[in-house]
Amino acid sequence: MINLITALAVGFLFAVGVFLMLRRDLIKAAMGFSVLFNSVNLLILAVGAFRGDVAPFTTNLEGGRTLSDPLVQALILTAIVVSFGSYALLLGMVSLISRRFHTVDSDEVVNLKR
Amino acid sequence: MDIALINLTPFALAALFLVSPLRPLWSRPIRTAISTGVMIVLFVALAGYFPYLEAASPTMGAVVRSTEWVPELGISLSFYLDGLSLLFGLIITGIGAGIMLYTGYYFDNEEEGLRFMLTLLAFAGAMLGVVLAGNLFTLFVMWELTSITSFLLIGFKGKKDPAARAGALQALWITGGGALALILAFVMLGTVAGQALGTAPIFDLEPILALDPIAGHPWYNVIALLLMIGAFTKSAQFPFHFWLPNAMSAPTPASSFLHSATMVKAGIYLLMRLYPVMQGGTAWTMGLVLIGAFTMLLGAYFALGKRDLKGLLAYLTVSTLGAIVALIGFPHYEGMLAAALMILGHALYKAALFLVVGTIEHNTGTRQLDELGGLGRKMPLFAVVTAISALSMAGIPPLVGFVAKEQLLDAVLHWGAGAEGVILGMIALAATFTVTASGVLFFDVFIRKPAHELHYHDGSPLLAVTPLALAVGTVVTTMLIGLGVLIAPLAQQITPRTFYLHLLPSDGLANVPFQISLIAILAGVVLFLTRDRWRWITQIPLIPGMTWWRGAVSTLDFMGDQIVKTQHGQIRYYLFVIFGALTALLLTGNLIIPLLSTAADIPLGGEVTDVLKAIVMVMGCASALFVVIIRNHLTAALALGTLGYSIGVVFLLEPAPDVAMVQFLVETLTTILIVVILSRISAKQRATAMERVWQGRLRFDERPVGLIKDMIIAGLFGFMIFVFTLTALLNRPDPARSPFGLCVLPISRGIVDTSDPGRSISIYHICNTQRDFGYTDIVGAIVAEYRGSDTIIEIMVFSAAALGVLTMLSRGLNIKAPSADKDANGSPLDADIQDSTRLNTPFTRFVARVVFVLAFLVALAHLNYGGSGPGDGFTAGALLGLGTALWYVVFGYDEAHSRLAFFAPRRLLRIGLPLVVLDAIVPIFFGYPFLAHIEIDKLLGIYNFLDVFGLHLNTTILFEIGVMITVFGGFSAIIEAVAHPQRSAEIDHSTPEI
Repeated sequence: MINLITALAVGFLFAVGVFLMLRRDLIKAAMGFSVLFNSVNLLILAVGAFRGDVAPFTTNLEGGRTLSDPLVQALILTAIVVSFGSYALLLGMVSLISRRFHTVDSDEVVNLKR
Repeated sequence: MDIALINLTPFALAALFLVSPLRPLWSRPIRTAISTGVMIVLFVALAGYFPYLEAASPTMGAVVRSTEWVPELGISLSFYLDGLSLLFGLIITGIGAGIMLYTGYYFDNEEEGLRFMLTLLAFAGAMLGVVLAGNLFTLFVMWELTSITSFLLIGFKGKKDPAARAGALQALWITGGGALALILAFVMLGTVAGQALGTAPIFDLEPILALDPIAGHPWYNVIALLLMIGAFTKSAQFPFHFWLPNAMSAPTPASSFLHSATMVKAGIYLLMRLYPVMQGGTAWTMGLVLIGAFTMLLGAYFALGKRDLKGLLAYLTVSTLGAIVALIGFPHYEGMLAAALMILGHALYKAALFLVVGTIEHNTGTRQLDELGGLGRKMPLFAVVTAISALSMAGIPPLVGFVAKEQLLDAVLHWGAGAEGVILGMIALAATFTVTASGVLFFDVFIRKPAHELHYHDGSPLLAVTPLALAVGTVVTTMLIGLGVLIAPLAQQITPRTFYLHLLPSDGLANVPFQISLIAILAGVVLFLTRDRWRWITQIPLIPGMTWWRGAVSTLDFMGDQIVKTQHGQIRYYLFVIFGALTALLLTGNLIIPLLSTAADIPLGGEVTDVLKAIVMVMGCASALFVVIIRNHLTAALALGTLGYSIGVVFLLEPAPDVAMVQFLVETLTTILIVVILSRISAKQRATAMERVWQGRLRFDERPVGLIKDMIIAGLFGFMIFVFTLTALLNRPDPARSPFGLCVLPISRGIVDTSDPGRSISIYHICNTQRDFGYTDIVGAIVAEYRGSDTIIEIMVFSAAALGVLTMLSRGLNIKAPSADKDANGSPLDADIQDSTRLNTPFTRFVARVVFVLAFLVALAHLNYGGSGPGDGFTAGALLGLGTALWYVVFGYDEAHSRLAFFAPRRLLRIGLPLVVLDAIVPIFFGYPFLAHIEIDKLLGIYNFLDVFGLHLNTTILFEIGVMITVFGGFSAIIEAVAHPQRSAEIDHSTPEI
C-alpha cells in the first residue's frame, strides 16, 4: 500500500513540476524546478535496492533488522546540495531577467542575447 | 629521467604559470629562462635514451612505462619510447627550447607573453604525449589536447582579429572531425589485434606493433581509410590542407612550433607509428602515395602565388608534409629513412624561416612580399639564416634537404608499381616550384630594393638566437650525415632496413635521382628569374580547395535555418517537446504490462511508519498543488517550503537521518533565498506574471488550449514516472522477504562476496564500512570514501553554480553599496533593507551572534562525530551557511558583509576545494591509492591520546573539513549575492506587496 502511495506521490509531484515548468511566469517555472528536484530525490530513494527499517548505521547490524539502502541516501545527500546550487542559479537568472527586461513573463522576454 | 616524468613536466610548468598568486614571480627573463631550461633538460634527458636504444638496435628495443587506467577495456596510461618516438621527442624538445627563448622576447605585452608561453608549454606536453604514448587511447587523448592547444594558439589574437577566430575554429573543426575517424580506427585496430592474439581488444602499442601486417584482414581497408582521414586532417593533406594556411593568424612562434615543426607532423607520426602493422596493403600504399604526391605538388604550386610570407611558408609546409606522407606509403620500409630525414630537415629549416618572418614582421610591421625588400643590410644575421635554411628547403646539395630529397627519389625508383614516372614527374615539378619559392623568399626580402621605404625598428637582439641556432642545426645535421654518425644510427632505429647515406651521390652524374634534382634546380632558377612574367598565372584560382568546405558549411547553415524556422523561440515550447519525447520514450519502455502482472501482489496495510509516511506524502502533494494554484508568489514559496519539509520527514521515516538533516537545512535556506529573490522583483512585474500563469500559448476562441496541452503532457509524464516508480518499488525486496540475511559472513572474516548478482553494492558498503574505516555511519562513509571522487565533482559543480550566482547578481559589487538607512528612492529593495534593519535590535543581534558561534560548534561536532552518528561535511557547511544567512538578515548587507569579511565566499572556496583535492591526491605520493583512507593519528602515534577526547585525525576528517568549507563557501556566495542591495534605475518604483 505504502508503495502505491509513494509511487503516486512521486508521479504527482513530477506532474506538478513539469506543469509549473511550462508556465509563462518564470518564478513559477523556477518553483517547478524545485518541485521536480524534490520528487527526483524521492524517486532515487524509491529505487534503492532494498527496503530497510532501521537507519544505516553499522551498530544496527546486530539484531537481525534490515538497514535501509545507504547508497541511494548518499546520492540524495549530494543531490540536495547540488540542486540547491542550481535552484539558486535559476532564481538569480530570473532576478536578472526581471531587472533587464522589466518582466518575468517568459513570452515577453524576446531576445535573451540582448 | 623517467619517460612519464619527461612527458608530464611541461604540463606541470604550465600549471605553475597558471597559479595566480605566483604570477608576479614570472617576469620575462625568469619565465623565459625556466621554460627554455626545462626544454633543454628534457632534450638532454631524451637524448640520454639514445645509447640504450642503439644497443638494442636490431631488435627495436623500446622503453615502456605503464599504469592501469581502465583495465577492463584494455586502456592504460602508458608511455612508449623507441627510435621513432625519440626522433620526434628530440625535435619537440630541441626546437621547443628555441621557441621558448624566442617567445619570451616576442611579445611586448607582459600578460599576453605569459598566457602564450603557458599555452605553448601545455602544447609541448601534449605533443610529447602523442609521441611518447604507449597506448592508443593515451595517444588519442594527447592528440586531442594538441588540437585544443592549437585552437587556443591560432585564436590567440581572437579578441581583436575575426580572421584568427575563423582560422582557429576551422582548424578545430577539421582536426577534431578527423579525430572522430581516428578513434573509430583505433577501436577497430585494437579489436583486430585482440582477434589476432585471441584476446579481448588490446590497445597497448607494444603488442600491436609486434603483430604481422594486417593487410589481409577484412577490416583492413576501412581501418586504413579512417587512419588516413585522421592523419590527413592533422597533417593538412588534400582535401583538408586549407586549414593550415588559415592557421597562420597565430602568433609566429606558434606557427613555427606547431604548424611547421611539430603538431602538423602528428599525423605523420601516427602513420609511421602504425606502419609496421598497416604497411603493404593496396589501400595504404596507393592512398598515401597518391594523396601525398598530389598534396606535395598542390602545396608547392600554391606557394608560388602567395604574397604573404607566412602563407608562402605554410603552403611549402603542406607540400613537404605531402612528400613525407607519400614516403610512408611505400611498402617494405622503402621510404622510412627518407621520411625521417625529411622530418628532421624540415623541422630545422622551416622553424628557422618562420622565426625569421616573425622577426621581420616584428621589426617592419608587415610580412607582404610586395612591401618588403632590402633587409639584407639591416638584418644581416637573419639574411644568413634565411640563406642556409632556404638552400636546405630548395634541396641544394649537399644540405640535409637535398639528401632527404635524393632518398625520396630513390624510394620512388625502387617502388616497382608501374606509376613511378608520374610520381617522379610530380616530385620534379614540386621541387622546381620549391626552388623558385625559396629564391623569392631570399632575394625579394633581403636583396631586392623595396617599393617603398620601410618603417624599421630593431627588436630584442635575443630574437636572433633561436633562428641562428636552428640554421646551425641544419649545418651540423648535414655534417653529421657526411661523417656518418648519429643521424644514420637514429634512422636505423626507425627502419629495420640498412641504408647508406651520402651527402653527394658516389656515382656522380650517372645517378638518376641526382639528374632529376639538377634538372629541377635549373628549372627552378629559370622560373625564378622570369618570375614577373608568369606571376599572373598563379593568381588564377585553380582548384579552390576550400570550395567543399564552404559548401559543407553553407549546407549546414541552410539546414540549421530550416530547423530554426520550425522553432518558436519559446523555452516552454522546447520543454514541451522534451517532455513529450521523454513521455513517448517511457511509454515505449514496456513497463506497464509487467507492472499489471505484479500489481495483484501489492500487499495492503502496513506499519505505523507507513501510515505516517502516507500522511506526510499526501501533505507534500497538497502543498505542491498549492504551489500551482496559489496566485501569490510569496505564499506559493511558503507552500514550496512545506513540500520540502514533508519530503524531509519522508527521509526521516525511511529511515535516512543524514539526508533528512541536510534536507531540512537546505529547505530553510531555499525558502529564505526565494523570499529574498521575490523581494527584488517588482510587485508590478510579479502581478502581471501571475495573471498569466493560467494562460497557455495556444488559444482557440479565447480559450487557453495551451493550458490543456500542458496539463496532458504533465499528466502523462507524471503517470509514466508513477509506473516507473511503482515498478521499482515492487521489485525491491521487503525486509521480511529479504533473500539475503544482511552480511551473512561475519564482518571480521573480511570482504563480502559481491560477485553474486543478487547482491547490491550497497551490501558491500554496509558490511565493510566498519572494517575499512572504523565508521558506524555508512552513508557518511559512502560520501567521503567509497564515492569520494563523486563528492569531489559534486562540490565542484556546487561551487561553480554558487560562483555563477555571485557573479550574476553582484556585477555591481564594485559600486559602493547604498547604506541601509537611505530610503530616498523608496524602491522595493530599500524597503527590504529597511525591513531587515527593523530586525536589527540588541536582542536579535545577540541571538544572531550566539547562533553563528553555535552553528560553528555544532558544525565541528558534526564533523568530528560524522563517523559515528548522522551528519557530515555537507550538513556542517549548510549549517554554517544558515548562520551566515541569519547575520545578513539581522545586520543588513553592509554590516554583515564587513563583519564576515574573514569568511569571504571566494576565499572559502579557494581553501576548501584545493583541500579536498589535495586530500584525495596526497596519498598517492605515499604509495596509497587515490582517496585512500589513512589514519594519520595512528601513524603519528597519538591515536590513543586523541581518542580520549573522542577526536580522530585521518584523511576522511580532512576531506570532510574541505567539503564543509567548500559547501559553506558556496552557500555564503549565494547568500551574499542575493543579499547584495542592487540599486538600479531599471527597477520600477512601485510599492512592495509582500
